[in-house]
Amino acid sequence: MKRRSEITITIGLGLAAGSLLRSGIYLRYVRPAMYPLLAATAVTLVAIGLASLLKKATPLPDGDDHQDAGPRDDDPHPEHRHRLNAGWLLVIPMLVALVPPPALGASSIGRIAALTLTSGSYTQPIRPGIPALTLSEFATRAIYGHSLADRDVILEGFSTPSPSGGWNLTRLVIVCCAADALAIQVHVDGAPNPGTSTWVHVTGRWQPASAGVPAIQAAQVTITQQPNDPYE
Amino acid sequence: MHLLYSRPPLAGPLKWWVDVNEAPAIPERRTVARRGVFDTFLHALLVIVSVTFVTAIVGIWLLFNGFFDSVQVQTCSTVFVAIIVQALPFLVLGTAISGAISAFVSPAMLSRVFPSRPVLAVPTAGALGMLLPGCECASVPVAKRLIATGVAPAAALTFMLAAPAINPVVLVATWIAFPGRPIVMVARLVASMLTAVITGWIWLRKGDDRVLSRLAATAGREHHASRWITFVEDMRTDLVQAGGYLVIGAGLASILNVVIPQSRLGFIAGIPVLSIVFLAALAVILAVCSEADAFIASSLTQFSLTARLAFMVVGPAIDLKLFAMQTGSFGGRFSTRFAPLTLAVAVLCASITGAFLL
Repeated sequence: MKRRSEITITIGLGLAAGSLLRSGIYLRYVRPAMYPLLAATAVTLVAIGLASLLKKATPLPDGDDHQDAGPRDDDPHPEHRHRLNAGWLLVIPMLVALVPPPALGASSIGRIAALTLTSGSYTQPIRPGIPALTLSEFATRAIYGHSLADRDVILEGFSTPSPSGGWNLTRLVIVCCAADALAIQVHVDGAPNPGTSTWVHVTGRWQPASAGVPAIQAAQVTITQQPNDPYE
Repeated sequence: MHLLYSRPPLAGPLKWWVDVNEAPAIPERRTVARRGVFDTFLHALLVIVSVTFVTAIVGIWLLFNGFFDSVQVQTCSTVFVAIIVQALPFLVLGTAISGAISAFVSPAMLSRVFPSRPVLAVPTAGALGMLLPGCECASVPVAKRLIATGVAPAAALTFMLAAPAINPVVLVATWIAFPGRPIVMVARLVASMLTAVITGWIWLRKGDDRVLSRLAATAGREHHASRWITFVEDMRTDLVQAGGYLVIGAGLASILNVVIPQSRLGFIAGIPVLSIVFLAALAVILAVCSEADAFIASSLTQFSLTARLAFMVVGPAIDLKLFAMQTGSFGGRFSTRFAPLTLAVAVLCASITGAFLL
């Protein structure tokens, strides 16, 4: 691959990463905690590209203080790195970043495995008032304790049809990126389905699980926008 | 001294990727720099225009055929971008380290770290793997530069297998994902370390270093005016090349990730041996990053702990993304030999460790 092609791609990749960060669209793909890493990556890529651009590399003849590991005397072309290269394929993610695909949502629920909740977390009493809980917190408390009894809480997620009838409030949980998404679901009783993949706030109270899925008795269901960070 | 690994000279058939038309470097620096900037600008413009044109045509054609309305295509492209966005920082980190090795580390310095006998250098490399925090994308370019700087290939390959599997971040993630069962983390550490070291030793005895052909074409380090220029040049080359293969791996993984529904895999869980092989295959296909795979493993509750251990041991050692990147860095003749070897050793180590510890 030609040196200037490498430079073009390096800078382009850095700019693409930067634009995903600036628009906040990166949250469709990775955790918010990736922001500093991605920012450093974008800066590094652009810097490496610019540095190569401004400082033309001129390979010196053999015999300076570098100790070379391989025999090179028979090679008349010291710059023998311009071979056919898959590097051009990096143009594809740059183009896709121009028309960024949406975050994972209701349509991938049938494919994604359910998150296994663990008993160790959320052992404190819940906050006073009408707290907004993550679906993980609600479901964990619902399964492992009774700290939710007689308390109104607010949950946020999108609607998916439940296999046992009615609908579930659903959220996807990612650890690194959308490739490792796992689903977490809470069955909603007492309110009609607002429409599959609609984002809603559900205000209501814990009730015993329905077919193994934690459940909430809804007092109010408000339609809302998809949050910037759609994952938990 | 075995450490300084000498490579056979470039063979004839390798020549096809050498661009003989490359103009010789012109000594006068100012002119070169200016022309370089202008050329690159023109070149970039040309690339952007032609790529946009082709994409527009393909895009319009696909649009009229309803391609983008398909839920699977959308999910697939989301997963594709996600894998790349996630991997990019680690790829940059890995290639920065590889560039730094190339520019600032001499074979003499490495010989102080690695024992001169390769049989001992292999376990040392395995232990050093605990020091590189990150996913598997970082370790491939680093391993490549270690070989180029004179580390025995078997030791560098052991480092490549160990680093993503047993670094502290991954171990802590595994500890969190299996609460109350720290033995799973211990089993992972043991099984992954065994996999890396045993694969390294097998490569030492049976492997043919000559199949590391692609490396032979780039390994000779160029001598630049300053070490910083060497750093920038080598980092950029490694980055673009490894990145290209990351795209291939991410593409394959995203397609299979969407085609194979994780939620309907339970039916295999009851069959003892098959379930281990099956989760190992799933690890190859899903290509999730090694910091996340423990959480996927902990959610596959129908499967035995040993099968889930196999998932966590195989994933960082070999998956589609890694196979593509190894092909890019070391050549297809290497990766088609090394990948099956790694997979077999990883499954065996996980099964045996699981039988004793879990």
